[in-house]
Order: sequence, then structure tokens, then C-alpha cells
Amino acid sequence: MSFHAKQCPEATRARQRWMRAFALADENPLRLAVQSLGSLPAYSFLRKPEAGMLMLEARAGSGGQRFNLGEMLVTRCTVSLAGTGGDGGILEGHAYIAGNHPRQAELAALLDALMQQPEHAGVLEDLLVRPLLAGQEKQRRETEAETARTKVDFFTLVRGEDA
Amino acid sequence: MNDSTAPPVQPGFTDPVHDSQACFRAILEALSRPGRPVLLRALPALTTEALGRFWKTSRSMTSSQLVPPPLPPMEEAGSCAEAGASTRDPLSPDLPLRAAIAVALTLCDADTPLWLDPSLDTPALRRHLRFHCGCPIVSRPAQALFALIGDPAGMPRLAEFPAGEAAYPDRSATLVILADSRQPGEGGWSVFGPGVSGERYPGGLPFGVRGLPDWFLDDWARNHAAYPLGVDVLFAGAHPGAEAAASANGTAGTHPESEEVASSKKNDTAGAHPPCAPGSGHTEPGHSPAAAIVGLPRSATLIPAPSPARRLALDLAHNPAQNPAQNPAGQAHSQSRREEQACMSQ
Repeated sequence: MSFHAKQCPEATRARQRWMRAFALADENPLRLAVQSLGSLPAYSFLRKPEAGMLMLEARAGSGGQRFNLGEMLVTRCTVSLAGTGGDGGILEGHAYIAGNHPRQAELAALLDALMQQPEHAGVLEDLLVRPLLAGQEKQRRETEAETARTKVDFFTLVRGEDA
Repeated sequence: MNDSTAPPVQPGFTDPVHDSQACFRAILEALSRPGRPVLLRALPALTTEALGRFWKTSRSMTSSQLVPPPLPPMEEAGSCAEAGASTRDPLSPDLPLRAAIAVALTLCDADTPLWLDPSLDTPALRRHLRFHCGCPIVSRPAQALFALIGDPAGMPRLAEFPAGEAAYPDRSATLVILADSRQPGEGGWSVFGPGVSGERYPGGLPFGVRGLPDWFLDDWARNHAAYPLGVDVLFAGAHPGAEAAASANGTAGTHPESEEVASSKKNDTAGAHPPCAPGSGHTEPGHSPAAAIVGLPRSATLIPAPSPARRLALDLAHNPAQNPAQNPAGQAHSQSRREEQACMSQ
């Protein structure tokens, strides 16, 4: 995250924020939000929702040799939204979701495209993105707190060498 | 990913799984039967406007001085490859490019570096292929396992592409060349090799693609001599059958495949496709001329076509029961043609 914060322009970071919110959310709030918008611009699939395995790669200590950490099931989808892009062009919405969730991937991709439209971005930010992020943050804190209770602080142990 | 400045991605196959399976089957068929046009039943749904962005139109300024003078522009799609971008009609349906992209969508992935020749090296096509195939796009032919060649006249020599290693002959390039294969007799070559019946085609299968450079025949001989090393070639173009059906098909020396297709279309009003196009696809009905690919694997030999007299001699040697004294030359020729058709339509 710190790497991205330094390297990416503001617009990219904003987009990463909401894409992350949609990817970690459940399907229901996404569907309700899309339904609440009423009439939507027509969208078409550039890539229909498809599930597949991704090989996760990692570096030991973030600097060592790259190695294969393991495979992960991912659903991805890309939609294109005709019309109201920044230059009147076509807006693309992408989604990569952990697990096999084709419907959520489609909704998340559509919402990613809608978030790039100024007329929808404000509504969706208040209605969906902020509550989702707040809920996900709360969830993360609870898990952390639960984990912290079981933490053992090894620094209190004296090895006896100095005695 | 901020793509506000990037060209928009175009849609790939309508039904990615089944369309690419049908296309894969067609590629297998093309490579196992060298020189035979194989219909592509499923093509990516690309508009002519989108395809126009895949061509580098500024290319004509530099390359027209290097390449031989372009052939006179033809009335229809498919001529773009050799006529050059300057004479290409941007509104014509661009079947060769659609066919080539279908092959790329079917075969390319993250493990297959792809090389685009200068006429196709555009941001729009790069993004399209990266998005749908995820393939790395390399800058030198020597790094590539696949190559899309939009300007055959200016293509690199075959030896510049990887031919594989003795231990790994599969690490060789497959070249997808956009070419007009609608009139295969034009080039005046014959194909021999596995997949070409020596009994049916004693003089070799007539074969030719317009717009190839002069050195192609020599380079192919070297390529074939290095077997099992060497590159494989797929020509992407329009199916000759549609043209042949439209024009009078009684012309002597017409490609037997064209006749076969034409006759099968005449006989088969149900619209069944010729037997060389297997699988079920998703092409729009009535969409002709259809795209086709012609395979030229490294196992195939390419020679200049024998003269008509030599062909006749070969036909007679093959079928000595026919007496040229009783049958005038032309009739003997058409007789054997009819037999060929009868065999093939079974």
C-alpha cells in the first residue's frame, strides 16, 4: 500500500479505494445500490464474468527471489459503458473478486464504471463506498483485536545469559 | 489502472469458450492439411471502425519506398495486406485481420510472446491483445513465439524468427500472415508433404498467396530443410469459395478446393459448410465471403507449380487408363477434376 501511495496518481488511488471496497463486499449491498440508481446507461461485456486460478507470486522479505506462493481462485469481469466518458468516449469498469462470484464480479465492474461518471459517483460514494469501507474497517479491527488477545510478548522472557 | 488516455478495448469472441474451441479445431485442420483453406466459423465481433484503429496508416509513407509497387487495389476486403495501408479502403470488411485476431485470441497467452509487424503495431491492437490474451508483446522477431504480419511484402526473413532448438523444436515461431488467399492459383506454387494426398494431387496441391515477397520460396525451402526445426505459417484471409461461387467456376486451372466449395454450396442449399470446416460456430448466417486460414507447417514442401502440360502428364501418369488420343487434353483434365470432386464430396 505504501508503494502505491508513493507511485500512483491521485485518480488511480481513488479508484483503487472503491474497487477494493467492491471486491471485499458481499453481493447484496452492491445489487441494492445498483437497483437504487434507477435507470442505468447500457453496458456491454468486454469480458464476461469468468473464474480462474491466479498464481500468486511473492518475494521473501519483499526483496529476495520471486517464488510461487500458491494459486488463488479469482473471478474477473470487464464491462464497457457507452457514452459519457471524460472525453465522450467509452468507460471501462474492471473487477477482480476472490472466489467464484460471477454475479458480484459483474456488479462490481459495473459500479467501477459508474464511479467514473460524475453524476453517479457522488451518490454511490455516500450510499455505498463509504458505508462499505466503514464496515470493512470495523470488521478488520474486530479481527485484529481478537487476534491481539492471543499474542505472546516474547520480549518479557529473560534468557539468562546476562545473569 | 487509469486508462482515460488508452484506446478502448474491443470485444473478443462472443462466446469465448466455444468460439476459441472452434477456432482451435480449424487451426489444427489447417496445419494438418497444408494448402487447404479452412473456414473460421467464429470471429471476434469487431467493427470496421475498431479494426481501422488496429492498422498503422502512417506506415505507407516510409514503407512504400521499400516495398515493390503495390498491386492495383481490389474491390473488396483482403487486399489490404499487400496493397498497403494507403490504398486500403477503411470501410471494407477486414476479414484477414479478423481471422488473424481470432487465431491470436485462440492461441496466445501469457507464455507466448507476440510480435506485431510495423503495419499492425498500434496502441489499439497492443491493448486489445494484452487485455484478451495477456501475452507479452516483444519488439524483435527473434523473441517471438507468434507473429502477426499485416504487410507480407515487408516481412522479416523467415530465419529471423526462432526455429526452435534440437532438444525443443516446439520453441519455434508461428507466423500469422494476413494475405489474400481467395485466388490460390495466383502464386503458382504447389504444396507437398504430410497431409497432401500424393494420389489425389500428383503434381502437388496448387497453392499461392498474393503479396508475399520474392524470397519466400527460397526461405521456405531452407525452413523446410531444417525440419524438425523451423517456423510454421498460417495465412489468414478470406475464403476462396465465396469468390469462386460468384465467378464462373469453369475456368481451367481453378483451384480444386474452390470448386469443391462452390459445388458443395450449390448442392447444399441447406447451407452446410464444406467438409473441411469442422465444428459448430457462431458466424452470422449470410456473412460472406467468410474468413479462412491456410496452414503451411514446416513439414510441407513448396515448389513452383508445374506448367499445365506437366500437370496433364502427371495426371495421365497417375491415371494411365485415360488415353489422350481419345480424350482431347482439356477434356482429360476436366474429367480428372470431376473425379476429384466426386471423391471429395463423399
